[in-house]
Amino acid sequence: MATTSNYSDPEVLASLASLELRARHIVEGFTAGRQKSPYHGFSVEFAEHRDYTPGDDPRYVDWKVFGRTERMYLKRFTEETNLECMLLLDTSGSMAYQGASAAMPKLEYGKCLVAALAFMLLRQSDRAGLAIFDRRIRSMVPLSGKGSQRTRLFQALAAAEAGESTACGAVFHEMAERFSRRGMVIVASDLLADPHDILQGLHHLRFQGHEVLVFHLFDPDELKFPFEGPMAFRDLEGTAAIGMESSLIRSAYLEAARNHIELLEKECRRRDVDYVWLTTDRPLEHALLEFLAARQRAFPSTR
Amino acid sequence: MVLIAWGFGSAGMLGWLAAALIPVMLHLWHQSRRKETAWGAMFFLRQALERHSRRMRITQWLLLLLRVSLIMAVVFAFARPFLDSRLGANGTSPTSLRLVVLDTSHSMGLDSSVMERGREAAQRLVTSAPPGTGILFTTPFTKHSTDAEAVSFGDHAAVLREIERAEATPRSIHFADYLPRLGEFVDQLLASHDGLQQLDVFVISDFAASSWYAPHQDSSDGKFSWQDSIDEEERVRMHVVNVGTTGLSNVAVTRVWTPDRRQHATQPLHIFAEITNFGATLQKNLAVRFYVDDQRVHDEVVQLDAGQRQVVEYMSPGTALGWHAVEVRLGEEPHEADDRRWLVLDAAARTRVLCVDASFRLGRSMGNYLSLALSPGTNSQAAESPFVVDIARGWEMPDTTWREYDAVVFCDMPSFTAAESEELARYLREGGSILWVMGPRTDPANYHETLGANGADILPVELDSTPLEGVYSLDPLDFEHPMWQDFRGQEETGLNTPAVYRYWKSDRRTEEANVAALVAPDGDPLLVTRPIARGRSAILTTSLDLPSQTAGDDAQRWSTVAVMPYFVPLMHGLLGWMTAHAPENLDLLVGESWPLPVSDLVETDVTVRLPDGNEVTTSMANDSVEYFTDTDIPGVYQFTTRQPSESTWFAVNVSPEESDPATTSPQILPEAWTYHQVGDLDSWLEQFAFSSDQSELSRALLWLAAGLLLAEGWLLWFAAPKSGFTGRDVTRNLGDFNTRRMAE
Repeated sequence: MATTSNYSDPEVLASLASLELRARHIVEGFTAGRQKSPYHGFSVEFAEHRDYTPGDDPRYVDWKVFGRTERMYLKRFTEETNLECMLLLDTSGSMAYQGASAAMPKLEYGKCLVAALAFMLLRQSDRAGLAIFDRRIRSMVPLSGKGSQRTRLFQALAAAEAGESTACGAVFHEMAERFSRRGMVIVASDLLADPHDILQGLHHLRFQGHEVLVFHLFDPDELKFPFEGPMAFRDLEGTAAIGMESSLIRSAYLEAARNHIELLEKECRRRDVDYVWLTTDRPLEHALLEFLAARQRAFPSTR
Repeated sequence: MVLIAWGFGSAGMLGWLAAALIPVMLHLWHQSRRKETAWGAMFFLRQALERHSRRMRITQWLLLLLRVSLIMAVVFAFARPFLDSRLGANGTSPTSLRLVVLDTSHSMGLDSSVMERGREAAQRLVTSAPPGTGILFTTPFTKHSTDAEAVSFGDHAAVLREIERAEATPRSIHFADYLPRLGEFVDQLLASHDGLQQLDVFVISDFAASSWYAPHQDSSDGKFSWQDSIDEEERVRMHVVNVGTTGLSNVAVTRVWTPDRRQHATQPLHIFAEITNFGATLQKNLAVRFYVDDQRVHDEVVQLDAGQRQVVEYMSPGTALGWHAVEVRLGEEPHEADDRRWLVLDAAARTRVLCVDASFRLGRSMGNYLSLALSPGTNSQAAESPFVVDIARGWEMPDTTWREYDAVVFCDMPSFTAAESEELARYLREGGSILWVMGPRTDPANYHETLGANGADILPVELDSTPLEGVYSLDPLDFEHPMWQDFRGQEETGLNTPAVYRYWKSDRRTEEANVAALVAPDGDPLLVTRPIARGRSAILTTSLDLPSQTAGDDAQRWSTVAVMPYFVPLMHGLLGWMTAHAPENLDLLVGESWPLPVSDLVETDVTVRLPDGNEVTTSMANDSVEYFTDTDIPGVYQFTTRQPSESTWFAVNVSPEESDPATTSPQILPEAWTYHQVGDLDSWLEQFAFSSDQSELSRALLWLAAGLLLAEGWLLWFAAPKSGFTGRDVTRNLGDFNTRRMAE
C-alpha cells in the first residue's frame, strides 16, 4: 500500500495545483494500485446472451443455460449508466481551518475528495452532480453524465470558497426535496452543527431512497486540541473570540468532540447511513474505498 | 478578650507579602497576553464551555488562591511569627517595653571606644528583647515621643539602624536635670500605652562625673531620683549601663574671655584662654593659637601637669569697630570640639553722653560728678574711658543737638513740655538712652503728665507728689539686674552704707519690663530701668547733688551717692548697660537657646549665619519666635536683621564640664535602680534568652506551603484530564472504528 499512500497523500496532493489534476492523480493512482478494476463485477449490468466462440473467457459462460440447453452461451454485460450521485460539499467558515500539522485546510481536502469521486463517477459513465453549501446551497451543478460535466463540476469546485456558518440539516432537507430520483448522496462536511438537525436531514435523504455516504472531515488538531496556556479562539464563522486557559478546557473539549462523533456514528448506522470520519492528514484512498463499498451495497452486481 | 496575640520576629520580611500579588499579576498578564488563533471547531468549544465554564472558573480562582496563599505562607514563615501572651490584646501594642536612652553628650565622644560600647550595648538590648517586646530608642537630646508609631514593635531593624547612626554630640547633659524629664516621659508612656505591664528603662552613659554630679545638695542621701510616683510603680525598672572607662586623658580649652565686657575700639584688646589638662599625665608642648577673625594673631606653647589649668593671654593695641570673632585652638587641626573655643566681641566707638543739668553750678553739680565718674579727669585717663561726656545747662536743652548722643542724663529737670516728651520718646524708640535723675526742682506732676502714663509713657515709675525723708542705704536686690554684672561676687560694695536722705517716693509700675536695680530698705524704688523699643529709660528717684555745705539746710540734703566708692562703677555699669545694644548673653553652650534681640522690633526678616556657613532666614513678628534654638554646632553665629539693618554675633561652645572624662561612682544611684558595667550586660541579658515556638510556627507555615504546592499540583491534574478523554483517545477510538468499517 506504499504506492497507495503516495498518490492520495494530502502532502502530495497539496503540491498539485489543478483540482482536475489532483482528481486524476487520485483515481488513476488508486486504479493502478489494484490488480483488478474496481469497476469490475459490479459496475456493469447484464444485457444479453451470445454464442460462445473460442477465445472467449470461460468465466462468462452461462452455465445454467448450458445445463438446460447444452449449448454454450456467453453472458454479455452492459455498463451501468444510470447511477445518479449527488455530491454535497460543505463550504462553511469552519471548513477553512488548517491546523499546524495539516497539509491543507478541510475545504481543500473536501474539494479533492469530491473531485476524485466525481472523476471516478463520470469515468464510469455515472451521472454526477454537485451542491456547494454552507447555511444554504450556494451553487449547484445539476446531475449529468455528459463529457462536459466534469469541467463544470471542477469549475464549480474551484470557485467554492469558505462562507458562513453551517446549517447541514436544512440543506439536507432541501436536497432531499430537490433530488427526488433514487440515487446516491455523498456528503463531505465537518458537520459542526446540531447533530439532531444533521441526523434528521440525513434521515430525510434516506427516506427518499438515496444511498447516503457521509464523510466527516476533521483537521487533526481538532481532535487533539494541542494548545497550551491562555488562548483566544477566534471563530472562523464569525468575529467572536473566546479566551480561556486551554489546558483547563482540553478535557471537556475532547469529550464534546467524541460525544459528537459517537452520536453521529451510532445514529447514522441506525439509519443505514454510511458514516466515515477523516482527518485531513489521511490519504484519500480510504474515502474512495468507502465510496466503492457503499456503491456496491447500494447497487450490488447482478451477475 | 484575646489571650494570645502574635507578632513577628522579622517584621521587615512582611514587605515580601507584596510578592503575593505576583500570581494575580501573572494571571492578569496572561489574560492580556492570550495567543489568538483562528479556530474551526468552535461548536465543540462552546459545548465544553457551556458544561464546564463554572468549574473552570472555580478552578482558576482556586489555583490563584492556592498560589497566593503559598507565597504568603512562605513569607510569613520567614517573618518568624510568634505567639505571645505578652502582646497587647489587640496584638499590635506591647505589654512589655524597653526604653533605651543612649547618652550622646560630648564626654561620650572623648574616646571613640566609649561611644562604640554604648552603641553595642544599645543594640544588644534591642536584639536580646523577647519577641513582642516594644523598643523605644532615644537620646537625651531628641524629642521624646509617646506615639505608638515611635515604638518599634516586632522588627527592630529601623531601631538598630538608628542606634548605628547615633554619634556623640558637642552637647552637655546634667542627669540631675534630665532624669526628672525622663520620669515625666515614662509617666506619659504608662498613660498612653494601656496594658503595659513591664517597662525597663536603660540609660547608657559613660557615667562622667560632670554629668552625674550629685543632684540634690539638700537631699539626705545625695542620690538621684526622678519621680516618686514612678518609684512606686513596680512595673517600671530603671537600669543604668556604664560604658565609660577610667584613665582617659583630655586637654581642652575650657574658657576664653576678655576682662572688658564692653570693648571699645580705642582700648587694648585683652584675651585670656584657660587650658586644662584633665588627664593623669604631663602634657608637653601644647600649642595654643589665638585667631581674631580667622587671622592667626598669637601662638604660645604650654606645658601642663596632670590636672593643671593654665591661663594664656593675648593682648593687642586695639581693634577695628564692629563685631569680631576670637578663637583659641589647641594645635593647628583640632580633633575634638573642645580643642577650640570662641568668643565674640563688639568693638564700639566711645559712648557719647550728654548731661543736661538743671542745677548746674560750675565745678560742683550733678553733671560734673557724672562727668568725672564716667570720664575721669586727666586727658590720658579720659582717652581710655569708654565715655565722652558733655554737659549742658538745663535751659540749653532745646538748643542742644542731643539726638547725636548715645545717652542723655537729665539732672533735676523741673519739667518737660508735651512736645519735648514726644521728641524724647522718639529718641528712645530709635535706640537712645535716657537717665532721669531727680532732685529738688523736679515737678512730679509734670513728669506724670508729660513723661508718665498720661503722656509719652517713657518713665519707668509713677512719682508721688512729695519726697520721703530719712536715712537710707541702697539694696541692689542681689545684683540681679544686668547692670550689676561687674558687682557680682563683690562682697564689699558699700551699698549698705547710708547715702540717701531724701527721695521721691514712686510706684514701680507693674509692667515686667520695669526692673528695679536699687531699692530703699523698705522696698521703695530708687533706680528703675525700662526698655523702650530699642532704647532704654532709667530713673534715679534721688538726687546726685551733694548737700550744700554752706546752706546748712537739711532740707536740701538728698544723697551722698556721688562721693561713695561705688559711684564710679555704678555709673559705668548703669550707662554701660543702657548704651550697650548687644544682648547680655553672647556666650552659649551647645544646645542652649539664644534669646533673639528683636522682641521690641517691628516685623522684620532676620538671618542667622551658622558656623558651617549655612544661613537660616525667617520673617518674624514681634510676638513670634523669641529664641534661636539651632545651636548644635560650636562656633560663631551671626545674627542680622534687615530692617533696621543690625548685626549681633554670639559664640557657642562646648561645656567645659563635658571635657572632663572623670567618672563617678554608682553609689549615687538609688538602690532600686540596677547598675551594670557594660561587661556585665551579657550575663544579665541571658535571663531574657527567649525560647519560643517561633521556629515551630515557621516550620508549620513551611509545611503548609508545601501542602499548598501539592494541592496546586493536584488541582491542576484534577482540572485537566479528569474525564479521561485525550486527543489520542479520540483518534484511537475513532481509528478503531474506521478500521472496523474498512474491514467490513
